[in-house]
Amino acid sequence: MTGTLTDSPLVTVQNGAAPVVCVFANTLTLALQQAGSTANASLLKGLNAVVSLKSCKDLQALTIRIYDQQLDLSTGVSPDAQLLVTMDFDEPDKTPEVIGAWRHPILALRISRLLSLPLPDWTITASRFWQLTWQEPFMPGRLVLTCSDTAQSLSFGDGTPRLEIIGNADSLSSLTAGNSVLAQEAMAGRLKIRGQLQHVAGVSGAGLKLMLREVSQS
Amino acid sequence: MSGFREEASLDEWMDRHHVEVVRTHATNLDGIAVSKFLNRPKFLSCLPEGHSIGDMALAMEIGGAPHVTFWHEFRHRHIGDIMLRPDMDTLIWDGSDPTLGHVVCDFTGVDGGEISLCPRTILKNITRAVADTGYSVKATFELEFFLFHNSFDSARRCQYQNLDPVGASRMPNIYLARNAHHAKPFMNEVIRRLNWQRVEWEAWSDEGGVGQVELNFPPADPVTAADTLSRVKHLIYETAVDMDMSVTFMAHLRGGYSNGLHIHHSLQDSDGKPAFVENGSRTELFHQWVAGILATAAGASSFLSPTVNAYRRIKEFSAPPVTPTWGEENKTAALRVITRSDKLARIEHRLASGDANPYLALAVILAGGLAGHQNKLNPPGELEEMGWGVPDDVERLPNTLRSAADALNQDKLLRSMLGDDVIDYWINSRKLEWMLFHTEGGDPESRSTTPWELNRYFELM
Repeated sequence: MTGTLTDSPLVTVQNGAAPVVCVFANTLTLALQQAGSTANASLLKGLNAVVSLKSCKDLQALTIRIYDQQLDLSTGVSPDAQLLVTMDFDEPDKTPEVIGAWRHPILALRISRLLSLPLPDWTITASRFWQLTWQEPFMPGRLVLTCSDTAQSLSFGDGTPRLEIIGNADSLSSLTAGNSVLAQEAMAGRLKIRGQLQHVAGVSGAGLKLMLREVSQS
Repeated sequence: MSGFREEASLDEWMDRHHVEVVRTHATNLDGIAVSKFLNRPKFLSCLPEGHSIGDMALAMEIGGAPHVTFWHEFRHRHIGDIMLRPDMDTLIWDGSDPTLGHVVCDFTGVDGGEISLCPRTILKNITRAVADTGYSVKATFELEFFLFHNSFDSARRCQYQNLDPVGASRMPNIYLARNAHHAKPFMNEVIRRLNWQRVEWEAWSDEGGVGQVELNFPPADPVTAADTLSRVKHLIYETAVDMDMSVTFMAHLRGGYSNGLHIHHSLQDSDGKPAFVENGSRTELFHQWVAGILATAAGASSFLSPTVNAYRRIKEFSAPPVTPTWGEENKTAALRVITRSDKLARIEHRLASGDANPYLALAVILAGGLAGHQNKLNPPGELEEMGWGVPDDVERLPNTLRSAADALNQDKLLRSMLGDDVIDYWINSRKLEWMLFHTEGGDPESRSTTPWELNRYFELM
C-alpha cells in the first residue's frame, strides 16, 4: 500500500500523558493523515463523544474526547465516557468488550471504524522516522529496514556503522510510527537486528521520543 | 582503629584483623549498592586499578535490565566490562563478619579513566569545583527508615503489604520514648556494628511515621558523608536480615509520614572559618548560594525525588516542601537555614526523599549553590510565613517524575555545572522509570502506593 500523508484533524495529548495515550495519539494522527480529508470528514462529521479504552491485561487506560473534528486524548477512564472499551492493546484485532454499545450503537460503530484505521505502509512511516530522528544520539550512520513479508529493503543514510532491522510489515510500521520500541521488540522476537547494541539503543531512544511526541511531528 | 591507614602496611592490617575477604562497594545511578567479594590474594593483586565488573552495573534500571533505550560513551559497543577502583582510604574491617573487609569504589573505564556518570565521581568533581573557588564543604544526611517485625522473607511473601511496624503507637507520633524503646534492640545492634566499623554517628530517635526511625551523623566532607550514608544503609539492611526483621528506605509506604533524606551543608573559607555567617550576619556568599539552589530547585528535584513513589511524598502539610523557598528555622520551606551563629550556620535542604542517591542529591545541591555564587544570583525574599497551603498561583516544585525531568531538561545552570551527558543520561533513566511504571502494571490512577512500587522499591532502594 502506498500513499502520502496529508493534514489531519487535530489530535492533542494531555501533558504528561501515559505512554499508551501517546501510542494511540500517534496511531490516530498517522492513520487520519493517511485516510485523507474526505474520509476524515465522513468519519468525524458531527461526532461528539467521550470514549474510554482500557487494557484487558494491565492497568493502562485512556480516554478520547472527540468534538469539532478534534481529538483530545488523556490518561485513565473517564466517568462521563459513553463507551468503555476493554481490549488487548497488544492485539487490537481481537474482539473487544464494549460497555455502552447497546445504548449508543451508531457511536460504537463509528468509533470502531475510527480505531480500525490502518497505519500507513511501513515504507512511509520508515521514511518519516528517519527524517525526524537521524540526528538523535547514537543513531547508526545507515539504517536498513527489511520487510520479511516481501523481502523489500529500504536504506536511509549513507554513513557507517549500519544497523539492519528485519520484520514483517506490521512490526516495521509500528516501530517506525513510534508505537513500539526496538529493544523491546527485539527481545520479544518480533524484530531481528544486525548491528551494534549502542545503535539499537539509539534507534530505541529515538523511537521513544517519537512515541512521547518529543520530536516534532510531521 | 579498623581502617588500615594506621598500620604500617596493608598486609599487616589484614593480618591483624584476619581479613580474608574484601567486599567492594559502589553505588550506581539509582543509589543501589553493587559489589563483589574478593578473596585476599585477588584483592591485593588487582590494586590499584581494582577489578572488572560488567558495564551493566552502572547502566541498568532498578529491575536489573540493562539500559537499552539510551547510551553513553563509557559503555562498550555491546556489553563489556568497566572497573571498580577501590578508594583505599575507605577500607575498613566489617566487624560483625570477622574475616570481611570492605572498601568503597569508583566506577572507572578499563583504562583507569574517569567515567563521568559515576555518582561518586560526579560528587567529587563538584566538590573540587567548589574548592577551586576557595571554599570547602561539610555535609551530613538525616537517614530515615521504617522498621518492621516481619523478616524480609515473610515481607516478600505478602508483597510488602500489611507489615507489623516496630513501636508502641500506630499513630504518627514523633520522638516518642516508648516507640524508641521498641526500636532499641535493633538500633543497639546497628550501633554496635557502626562502632566496629568506626563509623561516627550522633543520635537516633523515633520519627513521625509509624515504625519510623531517624539516624544522624556528624558533618564530614561531601564524599565521606555520602560514602557513610551508602554504607550505613547497607549495614542497616544487613542487620535487619540477621535479626529476622525488615527495613525500607523507600520514600512513601502508606498514608502518613514518608522517608525523607534531609541534607545539611555548610561552607568554610580557606582558614576553615564558617563562610555563610560572619560576625552574626549572613554573607553575600550565603545569599548567592541560597539563590543558586533555589534557581535550580525544579530541575534538581529530578535527582532529589528520583522515583514515581517519591512524588507521593510531595503533599501539602506532610513534611516535605512544595515550594522553592527558604527561611530561618522554617521547616515548611525547601531550605531551612540556620544562621543564628557562625558555628551553627548551615542550610538544610528538605526535599530529597529516602530513595535519593546520596552522591547525586548532594552533588546537585552543591552544583546549584555554586551556580548561584558564580553567577552572583540574588535569592527570592525569605519566607516568613508557612510554605504549605499557599494559593495556587504561588510557584510549586514539580510533583511528578515527568515534570521534574522536563524541568531538568530546561535547566541551563545544572547542565553547565554537571555536564550535558550526565543530565541527558539521567533524564532518560527517569523517563524509563516512568515508562516501566505505566507499562509494567503500575496504576496511575491510584492515590496510594501501588504493589508495583512496593515490589520494586521496598527492599532495593
